[in-house]
Amino acid sequence: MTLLLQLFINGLVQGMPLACLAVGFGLVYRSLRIFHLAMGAQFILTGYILYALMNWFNMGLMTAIPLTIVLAVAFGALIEKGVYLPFFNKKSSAGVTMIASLGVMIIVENVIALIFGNNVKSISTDLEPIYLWHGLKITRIQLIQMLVCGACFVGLGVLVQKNKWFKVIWAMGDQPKLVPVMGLPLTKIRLAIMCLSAFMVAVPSVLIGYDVGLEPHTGMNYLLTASVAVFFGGLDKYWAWGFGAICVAIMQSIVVWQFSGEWISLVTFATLVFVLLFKPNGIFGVRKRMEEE
Amino acid sequence: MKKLIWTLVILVVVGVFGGRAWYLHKQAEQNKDAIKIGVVVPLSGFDENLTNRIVTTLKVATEELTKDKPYKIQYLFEDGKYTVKDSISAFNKLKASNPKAFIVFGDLPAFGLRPLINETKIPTIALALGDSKLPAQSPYMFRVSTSTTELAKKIAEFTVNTLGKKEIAIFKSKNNYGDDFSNEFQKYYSALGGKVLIEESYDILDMDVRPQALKILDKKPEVIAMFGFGPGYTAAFNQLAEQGYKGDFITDHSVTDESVWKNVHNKAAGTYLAIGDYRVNEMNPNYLEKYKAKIGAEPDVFAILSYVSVDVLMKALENKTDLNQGFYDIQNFKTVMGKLSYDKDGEPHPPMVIKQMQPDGTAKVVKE
Repeated sequence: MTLLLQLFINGLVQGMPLACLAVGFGLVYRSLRIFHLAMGAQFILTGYILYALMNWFNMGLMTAIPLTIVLAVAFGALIEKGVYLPFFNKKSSAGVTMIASLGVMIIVENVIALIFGNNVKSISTDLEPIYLWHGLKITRIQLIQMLVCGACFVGLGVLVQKNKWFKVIWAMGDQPKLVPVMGLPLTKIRLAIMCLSAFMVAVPSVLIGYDVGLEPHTGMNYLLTASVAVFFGGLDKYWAWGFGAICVAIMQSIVVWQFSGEWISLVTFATLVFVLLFKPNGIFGVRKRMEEE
Repeated sequence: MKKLIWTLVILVVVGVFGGRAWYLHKQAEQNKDAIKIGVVVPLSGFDENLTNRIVTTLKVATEELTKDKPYKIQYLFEDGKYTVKDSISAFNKLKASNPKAFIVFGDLPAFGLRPLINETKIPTIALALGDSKLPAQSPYMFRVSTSTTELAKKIAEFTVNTLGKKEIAIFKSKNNYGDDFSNEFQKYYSALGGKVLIEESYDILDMDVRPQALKILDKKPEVIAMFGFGPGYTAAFNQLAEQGYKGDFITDHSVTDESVWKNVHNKAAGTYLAIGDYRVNEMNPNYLEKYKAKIGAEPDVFAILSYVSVDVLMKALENKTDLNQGFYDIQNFKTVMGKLSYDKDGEPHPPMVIKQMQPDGTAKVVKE
């Protein structure tokens, strides 16, 4: 029973960084309608920026992290300015933009492998302190991940509810043409969304990179899991993305309780597909009228 | 102006391609009489350090060891990317150059190439530890290392007879290598009275294996067997230690890899491993000097295996009429990994030892 509880807690802890990643994906998909595959590239690049700042420029962790996040956000802006916006201006289809996004992902992944190599890079090789509570363990970095990512997720969630600009962002996904009609700066809003998304990806990326190390080909895994969390929770509701992320993370963790580790992906995704068969708009998805779709 | 730019661009392109064609032609002229050996290794998308060590060794060792030979060896490298599909493409491309033999890295690519090797009847050296039955499936394939069967038997005997540990957990990579090593190990370990409490696996790209680590530790094993490689292998050591595991590990050569050790640091110190009896100090001194200058480290397992490949190839070439038979003729042949004798299955049966990882990353022999 302790094992089950421990696996559940581990899943809960993993759920918080995943929730941030889900927001990073969901924001772009919900408002810009781009299947943001380049997010995988942002995720791995952020970790490697931190690694480079610490190892090549001898920066301390506390100086390197904010600078990494700033650079990661700048990279998000660059993707918008250099890739997504030109395709949007040319009225390209969602499929074409998705291919371009995949291109960014592949290019970044390969450039990283070229510069840093394909081997695992560790930011820290020290043993993390462990906190014990009634036989349940949590490492310091796991606790930090949970608290920092949780704070980012909840903080942005409050902003989404209170700030009027987020109403515009949400409406943009359904009626993008209305934004310029209302006299609002569409390109600036798009840029802001990409920067915000990049920030929400950068925070878990540095923490996960610090925790388990870096490898240039892991971006796609995190991206897919984050996208699954968004669709599982429900595309239209911010809090549902977090719910989806926590469910997916817990499921991935407790699958091991009864099955072998090799079945983690299969059991998790089969369950999600099964749930989506009955709730195609996600658990908290909003059913729309036919003319709204 | 526009015309001038275009003319310049065309001239540059023609110059580059023309120069390249001229260089290739010149090289082909120079190597006209050389014995061509096709090499299928992952030149991209894999561990580039490993590739570097293999390529450097093949080139440098051949240069040094064939100095007084009447023939010249030319290696033709193609990128197999450690996948069956790319290895087949690489093999087919190299086949057009009529190589006398092939050297293939990795059990999976070598396994996938069997039909082509059998069809072309070109003797192939497999730089592969995994897949216990690999060379037996082709009369033209020869291994240059210990097999997983031999390593598994050696470490199983050591675990039961020397360490006296009879309750084990197995943590393996979810691939051909991990599965094969685990199956072979379980066969011998169970026969010796050992009990496998749990067998868990990870994807080689997994960076977080905590759920599996927790499940393993819940069974309270006396010792944990780690059979695999990749980021998952590194993560397994780190996260088992992080969750408080202080018992013994047993494994194979993977832990000696520099990139693994850098990341697991001293969390794997004390680990026992079954490995070939490699003797770096018996290697050609010129080779050693050049290798260290280029790689910046002592030759590792794959550099040694590549070195032995050159040795074995040169020995087989002594049979001028039938190279394949030349490999089978190799018996009691002294190499830097002990004496090799090929059996009918193409297995060389080199001697093995048990080593223990030291806190400084070196491995010390604890049992011959």
